[in-house]
Amino acid sequence: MRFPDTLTRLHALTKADNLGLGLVVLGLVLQAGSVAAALKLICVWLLLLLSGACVSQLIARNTRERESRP
Amino acid sequence: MMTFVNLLLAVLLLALAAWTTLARNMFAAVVGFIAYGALLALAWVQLSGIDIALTEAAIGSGLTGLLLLNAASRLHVNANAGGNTGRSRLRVPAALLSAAVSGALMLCVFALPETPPTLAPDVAANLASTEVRNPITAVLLAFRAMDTLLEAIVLLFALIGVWSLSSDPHWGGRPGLRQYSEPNGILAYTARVLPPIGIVVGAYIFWTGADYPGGKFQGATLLAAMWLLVLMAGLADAPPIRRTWLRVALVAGPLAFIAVGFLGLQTAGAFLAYPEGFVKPLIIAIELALLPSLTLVLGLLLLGAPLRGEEP
Amino acid sequence: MADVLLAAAGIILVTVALGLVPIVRGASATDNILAVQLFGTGGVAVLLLLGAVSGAEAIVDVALTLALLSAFVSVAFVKSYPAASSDVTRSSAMYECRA
Repeated sequence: MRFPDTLTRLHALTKADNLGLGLVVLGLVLQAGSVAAALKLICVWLLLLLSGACVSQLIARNTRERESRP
Repeated sequence: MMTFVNLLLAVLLLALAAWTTLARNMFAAVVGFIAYGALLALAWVQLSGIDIALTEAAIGSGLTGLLLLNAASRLHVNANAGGNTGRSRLRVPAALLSAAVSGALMLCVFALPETPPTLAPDVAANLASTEVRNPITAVLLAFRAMDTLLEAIVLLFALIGVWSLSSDPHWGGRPGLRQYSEPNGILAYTARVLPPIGIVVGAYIFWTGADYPGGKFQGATLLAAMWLLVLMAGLADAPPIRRTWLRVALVAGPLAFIAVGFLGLQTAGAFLAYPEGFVKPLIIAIELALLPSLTLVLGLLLLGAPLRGEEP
Repeated sequence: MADVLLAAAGIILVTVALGLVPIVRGASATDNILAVQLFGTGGVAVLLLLGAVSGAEAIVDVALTLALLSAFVSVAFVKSYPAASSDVTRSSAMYECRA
């Protein structure tokens, strides 16, 4: 397996969250009908960036404590 | 290409549904169900049911996900203590019963006439008289307002049912357990940063409901989720259910709805009829009154029965 | 153009669905939540793409809802499946002693 444990998989996941969606949004912004629609797309991306960052921290902490448990 | 994406969605839905039912591990089944909810929202979008997609994303995937996760974790605690009993014996009858229900439903679907009876043209013809542009809102609050009123009341009854599960000493106390988190930890940070955004999004979904897909129910779900987030991080505590303000807030929405109904009896000649020219303001007033009540009901339903007394 | 967007949506769907395969093979609870998180993000991307194809602006609202609540589910997971002796939560320990 390329990503042997949870923390590396988390690392891979955040790339999809941030960059993958970011690139999709970037592509769609270019053909959005209006400025408001484009801003809304960017808002969705920013929201996922923020929540993704928080959630990955939470899960990483949870995992570390789980693994250090005797 | 559209057909390909639709086909893919259908196959994925069936695979996830099968996986959720067949999973041996309860937690994996819950996870499958949450993903299934998200996928179902995609399917509804493809069927042009954007209102339903919003509800599915909010309730089916979000709030129900939380409910099932909590249930699974509590059952997990109990299963470790008491052990599993009688699961394999019930399996075959349960599978047979489910198959029978599915088969009956399938027969019903095939028995439908080629062009099903529909009132959609009538709704489209009379939409202008309601002054709202979202046909779903028009149906829910003008043409079939009685159904929506009864739905709001049924939710209240469900909440009373949940509350009645509490033990006598805890009756009137605070629902759920007091939650703790590190005051400067990432959980507390999340619960401080996300709710303001969530409240704006919830209010937006509510407000846009008059003209575009959205509405009080979806908005209330988002607001309830944000409230629960704050509670889960321990930044606030759930109110004791004997508080008068809480009970007033819970019944205020349905009561306002009923009041508007009687107003219709006076001015337009029928219960829940709206006088000419005031349709949209009245619909928005009802939605506005229902929003806080629904938010509280949904949040409290997920918190469950009171488990502790008045003390924080 | 619509075909390109739909193809992208299809590819994303297949990819996130492949991400669910480890759950079927019995991964740990945390890995399951990671797969759901990926599924939520993928769902948001697919919704945005479908919104661009069909031109219905409201689909972006569905994406917004899904984006907000995917974080919510993960927080719920961390709260209901805490690591023992964690400082994040003590709720399940409390539940046992009160039950």
